[in-house]
Amino acid sequence: MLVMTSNLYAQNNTVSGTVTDAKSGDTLPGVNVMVKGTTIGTSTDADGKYSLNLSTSTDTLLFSFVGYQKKEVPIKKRTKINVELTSQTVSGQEVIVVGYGTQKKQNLTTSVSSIQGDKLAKTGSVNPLNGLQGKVAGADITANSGRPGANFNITIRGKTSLTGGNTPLYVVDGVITDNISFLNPQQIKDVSILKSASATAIYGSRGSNGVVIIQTKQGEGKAGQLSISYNGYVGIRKVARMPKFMDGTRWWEFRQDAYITDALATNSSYDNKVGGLSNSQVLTQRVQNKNYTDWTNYFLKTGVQDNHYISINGVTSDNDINYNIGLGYQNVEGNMKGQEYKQYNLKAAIRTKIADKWTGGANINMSFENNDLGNHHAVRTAYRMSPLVAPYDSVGNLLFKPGKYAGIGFTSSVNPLMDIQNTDNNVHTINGLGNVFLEYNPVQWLQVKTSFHPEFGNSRHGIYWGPQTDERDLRDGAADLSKDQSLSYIWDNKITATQDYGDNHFDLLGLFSMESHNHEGSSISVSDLPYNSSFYNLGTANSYQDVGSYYRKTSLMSFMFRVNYSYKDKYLLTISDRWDGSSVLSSGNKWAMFPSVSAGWRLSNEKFLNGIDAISELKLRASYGITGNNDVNPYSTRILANTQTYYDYGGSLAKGFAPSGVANRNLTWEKTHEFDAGLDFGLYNERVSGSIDYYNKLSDKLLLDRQLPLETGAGSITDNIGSVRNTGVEVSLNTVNILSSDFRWETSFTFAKNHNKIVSLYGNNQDDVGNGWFLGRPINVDYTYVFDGVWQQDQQAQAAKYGQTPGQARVKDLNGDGAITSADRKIIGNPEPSWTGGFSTELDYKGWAFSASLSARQGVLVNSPFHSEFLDLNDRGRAKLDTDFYMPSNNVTPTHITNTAPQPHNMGPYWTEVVAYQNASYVKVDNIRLGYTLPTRFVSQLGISNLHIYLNVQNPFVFTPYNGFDPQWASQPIWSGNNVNSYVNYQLGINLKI
Amino acid sequence: MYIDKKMNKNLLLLFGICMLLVTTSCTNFLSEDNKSDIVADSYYKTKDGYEKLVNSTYAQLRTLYGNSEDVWMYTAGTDVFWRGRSDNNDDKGLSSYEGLTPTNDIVNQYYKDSYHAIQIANTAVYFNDKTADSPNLKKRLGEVKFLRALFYFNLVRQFGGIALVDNRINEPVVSFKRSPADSVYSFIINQMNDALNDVPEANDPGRIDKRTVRFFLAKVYLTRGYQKFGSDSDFKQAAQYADNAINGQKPDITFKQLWFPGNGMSSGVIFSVQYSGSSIQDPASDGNIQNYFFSPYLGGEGQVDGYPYRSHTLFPDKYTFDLFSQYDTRLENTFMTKYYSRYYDYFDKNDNLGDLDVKYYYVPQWAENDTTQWRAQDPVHRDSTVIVPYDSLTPNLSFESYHGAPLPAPVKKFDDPTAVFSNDGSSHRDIILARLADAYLVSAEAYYKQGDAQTAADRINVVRKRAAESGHTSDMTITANQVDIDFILDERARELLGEYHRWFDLARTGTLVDRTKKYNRNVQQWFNQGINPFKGAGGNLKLLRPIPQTAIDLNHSEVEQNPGY
Repeated sequence: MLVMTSNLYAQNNTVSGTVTDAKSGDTLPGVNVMVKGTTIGTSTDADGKYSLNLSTSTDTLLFSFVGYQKKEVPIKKRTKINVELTSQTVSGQEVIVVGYGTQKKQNLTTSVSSIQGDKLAKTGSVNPLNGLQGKVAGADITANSGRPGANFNITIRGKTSLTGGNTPLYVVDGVITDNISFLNPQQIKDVSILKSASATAIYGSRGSNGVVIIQTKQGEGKAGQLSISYNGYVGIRKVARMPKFMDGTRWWEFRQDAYITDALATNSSYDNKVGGLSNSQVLTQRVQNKNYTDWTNYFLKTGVQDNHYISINGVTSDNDINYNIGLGYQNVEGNMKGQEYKQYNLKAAIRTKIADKWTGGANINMSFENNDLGNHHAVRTAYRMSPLVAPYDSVGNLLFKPGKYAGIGFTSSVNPLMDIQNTDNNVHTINGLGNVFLEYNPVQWLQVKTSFHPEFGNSRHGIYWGPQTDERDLRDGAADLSKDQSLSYIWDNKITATQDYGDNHFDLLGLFSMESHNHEGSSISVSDLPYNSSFYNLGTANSYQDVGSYYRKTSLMSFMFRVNYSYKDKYLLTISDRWDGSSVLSSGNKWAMFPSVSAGWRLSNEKFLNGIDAISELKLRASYGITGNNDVNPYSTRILANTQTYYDYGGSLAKGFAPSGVANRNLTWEKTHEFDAGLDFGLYNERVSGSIDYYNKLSDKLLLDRQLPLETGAGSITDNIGSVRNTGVEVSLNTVNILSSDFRWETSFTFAKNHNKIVSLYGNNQDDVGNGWFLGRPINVDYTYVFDGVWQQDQQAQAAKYGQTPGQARVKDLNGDGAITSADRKIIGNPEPSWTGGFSTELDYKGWAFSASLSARQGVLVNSPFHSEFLDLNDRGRAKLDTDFYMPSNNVTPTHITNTAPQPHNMGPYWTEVVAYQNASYVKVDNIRLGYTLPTRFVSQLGISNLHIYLNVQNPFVFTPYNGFDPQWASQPIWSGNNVNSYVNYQLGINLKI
Repeated sequence: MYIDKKMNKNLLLLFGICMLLVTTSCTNFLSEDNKSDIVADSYYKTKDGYEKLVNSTYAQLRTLYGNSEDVWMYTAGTDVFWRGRSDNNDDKGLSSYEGLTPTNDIVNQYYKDSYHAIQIANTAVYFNDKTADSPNLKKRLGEVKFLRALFYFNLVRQFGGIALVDNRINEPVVSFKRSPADSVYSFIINQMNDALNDVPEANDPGRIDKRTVRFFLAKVYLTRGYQKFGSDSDFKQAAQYADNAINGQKPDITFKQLWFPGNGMSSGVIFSVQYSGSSIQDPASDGNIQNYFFSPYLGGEGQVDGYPYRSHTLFPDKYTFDLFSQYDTRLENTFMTKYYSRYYDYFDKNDNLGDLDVKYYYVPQWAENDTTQWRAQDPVHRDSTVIVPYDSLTPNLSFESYHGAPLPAPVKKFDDPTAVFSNDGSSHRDIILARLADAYLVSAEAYYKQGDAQTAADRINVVRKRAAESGHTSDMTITANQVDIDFILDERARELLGEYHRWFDLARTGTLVDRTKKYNRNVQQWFNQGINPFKGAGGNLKLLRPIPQTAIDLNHSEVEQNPGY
């Protein structure tokens, strides 16, 4: 392959070497190697090697390769020169995954964000959504729990449905699925988030809440290449940022105060019995010796987190078969005893040429999850335990009810350690999804593809409570067992055509799709198990509480077409339309149409901008689309006899089946109309790039559970009522701050602001105070009284007018009518963020790689069950958040004059109405990562093509005014087992490629 | 790997055939396939389906009498109970009226549950002539019509005039007008008369029979008699129906036997909401809650130590204890006046109580000076007994105890020693809605209202003599001139304490304000501050419950709120 030129000099100098990709370390074949200023040159062979004979050794070599930055290397008398080339993003040439296809970024006319899989993997997250936090403008992502295997909530461009789900549609390798937590981030090739309706309209009736498309890794590379890689880390998970609870001294003071308060109110004496001390010698001793228990030492521990993923990727030498096989294992052991999550993944993808013009393939992703959820009672009681009670008795045995030990009369709560020990709570889930496809290319510009996408899910949830648990309270054990399985398939048939007529370019897509989703399951609850057989021998139980099973099926049929047109790569137009027919709606309402249109103008291709070198890309785009939401329970358009009732006549059982209520035969599609305008730009040869979007979307005929008049006796029906508007802006900005041969520094910002308001309700445009829905206001609002401090001693007379006494929490009499009534409530905030944003940066210097990312969520006022629980100053037996509460003068404890929190045991009627509303805004450093790639020359001797070692810290810092656990799960109930401690993960990992 | 052109064609053909096959077979693809549920219209037309519908109408009784809302609606804010630890505004509203508003959740839930029950009854009436023929159809019609009338009777007493919905609703209806109270009463009487005609003299156990209908007709007439649209003939009818319900039967079991666990369907009972272990799914929550409300909290270890969970909310007060005179056995059979080492010992070891240590003794007023002698009677078992003096019986604050004895004395008549320790409905004893003694007292009141105090006294004496300690019947007998409404109400309190009649009794007799002002400390507190807690908007008294705000908001008709709200 040597290319020689005619004007040869004496060939006495030889220089040779290998050219590799700077990032992956892969050798690069076909790289052009030239002597600068001459026509002498060669190109690298299949192994990336080159060799050149030169007349002089002082020349400079010029390496160039499509898609890579050119590199000049002076020879300086060397004979061996290895070169690393850095890939170059060619403006707009990246291929972005869109619904049912791909598109060059430069030709996009809709709002789509795309993230590469390795960026996700770099964050060290277990859940793919975790890695996306802060990286996509307009996607608000939060963890809903601190337990292992936690789910993440994602809202794209604001909430639409008032009652239904706001989760986007997930499409994994063409399969529509409920969530993506079963995927190991390592197996993901890329994620596309379709935001505007014009992008999601292609998914028709399910596009309203955005679409998240995930492609898993496929076999790719060059013919004859096989690579085996291992990516993994081991780490620890440390408890972090614990809320400040009262220590023993403070708590004891609080406890005494709670007693004194009652005594003060009734003018009774309180000296000797304050706090209930006289009942227990043990308690007296503990107080005297300040012998307090920090319960967190007992039930919290440092957990572990690790992820291991092996994959084999290759292409046969005849280039006919591409394959990718992956095997993964993730393990998270929580900080709360008894909580542990394990995930095993298997993925396999193959694509092969079957015949001339025919290609086929198959792809599967399977996962097995084993999730120990722990004991949710124990989570609550653990944090509730007062520092004056201890888990063990004097000889070291666990106490069943520590609050009742040796005359201490605090609380009858069961010892959480015992509760945890005697509980099993385990979910097994098997998920599988994949596809088989057959592609036919009769002529080069036409492709016909049929693909079948099956999905199955199987989950088993078993719970066992032994006698020594809070649930059983020394009665014989009980168990619950439920099993659910789902089987779905989608069958897509697609035709695509590409044609050019002069400067006119056309892409056409036609689709016919059928899908069916089947769910069934069963459950049983039993009690009084004679011995501990966990949930594996329910037949031994003496009593059966509940036996049930169910079946649900929905089906959808769709037709769709899309036309992309461009003229001279300057004027872009996309038109699409989809018709969906759904089984869940009654006949006559089954079918609906979801059209969209979008257009783009690439100003950077216009002559008048040609002279401006700074602008490499500039595109204006606008789009309009209609999407739907058919999130309706199946069978809700008919009255069923399915409300089971129980009765008996003189002891003989008389089960009954009452009607399900009123059915709504007129139920129809919820539709969202969205206008989106955007600007994509690239400056200074893509050193600065980004986009700005404005959108305005109106969701109409909102599917909503609507209360019927109580006199119908029917409760609620699902109905199409009301509409909600979301407007917002999104900005993303990517800058390459430094770019040289061995130093690269890149940063990206995202910012999004969404404004959500209810436009109409019930057709009669009245606020629905009961549901907390107000016209012109966001769907979720915090509607309550306005906290105004604490009634002070000198305000006694004034307080009495409101039926209150000093020490009680005071709220504002907003209408000034001299009484606190429901009319004194107002909207004090809302739990959706006023803006969200993210920042991430990557620094590469030689083999070193540093990256960090950060996400922010601001203007969030949540109703925090944590604060309702731990600032309940009426209760005097359980642990409390350390707060500055009010206490008038007395002769036992210190006086506290404050407006922060009311008097123990005298909170007044409004404290519970206001205490839970807490600012849960935050700025969170998602991860900081430092890695080093070992030099190729060093590792290649070991037969390794690339070895990267890194340290990663997840969630190292959170800046927030919220003083409960993590602000992300501030709104979670305290008894769910989700509202648990925050944590920091420290990971040590390697990426290795053979 | 390449395959020849023939293969290529075959693949194409295969592909084409597949497409064709599938697209032609998909005509039913979008129709619903529901394997687990049955469509109401077809099921209720079968004989079995109809029985299930009737069963679920009966089951509504459990909702309307078994839940905590119901206890508040029937018994709170009366002369016999005050509110203990409950601090929330809903409970406060119903127990002392000042804070009672249309947004009260308990009232809202009760209203909602009532109309839900009515709608199921309406459905059962609707399908009665559309379902498969069976010999039971006539009596079933009577049963569901009666139940529907009973639901309306409760509603009209709580709320006054309310919307009369007697048709099956199977599509969204958004407008309902309130019917005046007198039409509601006419409807109830009319329906109960139909039922009287349709149901047999003796029905299967637990179902509506003629006697039940007569009993309730007596109550309906008695109640209407007091209304401004009522008349004297209502009292006459009431007396007649009550006497018909009594049907000459004398109480043949003692008050103790009547209330002893396990005697649910005794001869003293006319109609009760049925519960049994077999008809309950979750023993901790699917039973009823009558055993839970009327007493102090007894502690958190009941599961082990053998005592019930108690909510610490509705407390009998001094007036309630003062009602009982010496020789009235109803005091010790209503309250756990002697608490043995395990609370439930009283039931579980009832035959050998003499062998047990008495842990606490709540001494009655008349025996207070005699406690030394009481101990001396059985020093072995009574030496260490904590004797709660009568004065200390009713605490000033909640959660007080007298040397370990919970205060006040627990109400025991509803206790279910087999119930799971639970703060939810765990009792599976029946809830008695109609019983013989009540029929006597209704009859007495009806005669008294007609001016016949002597017959009234006779009826009351039947009840009192049955309650008398043996050998003391004459001490318990009253004369005609002792009879007045206050006496009748006192007697009803003694006999029927906690039986879900009290608020109705006071409301019916127009004594709600006076008697609560006199005897209920939560209400008194307001009067003591110079505030009449019943006085609401426009200076009107809150003598009816508020129509729930959600009912008003959801109803597209203009709905007038009750006075005072």
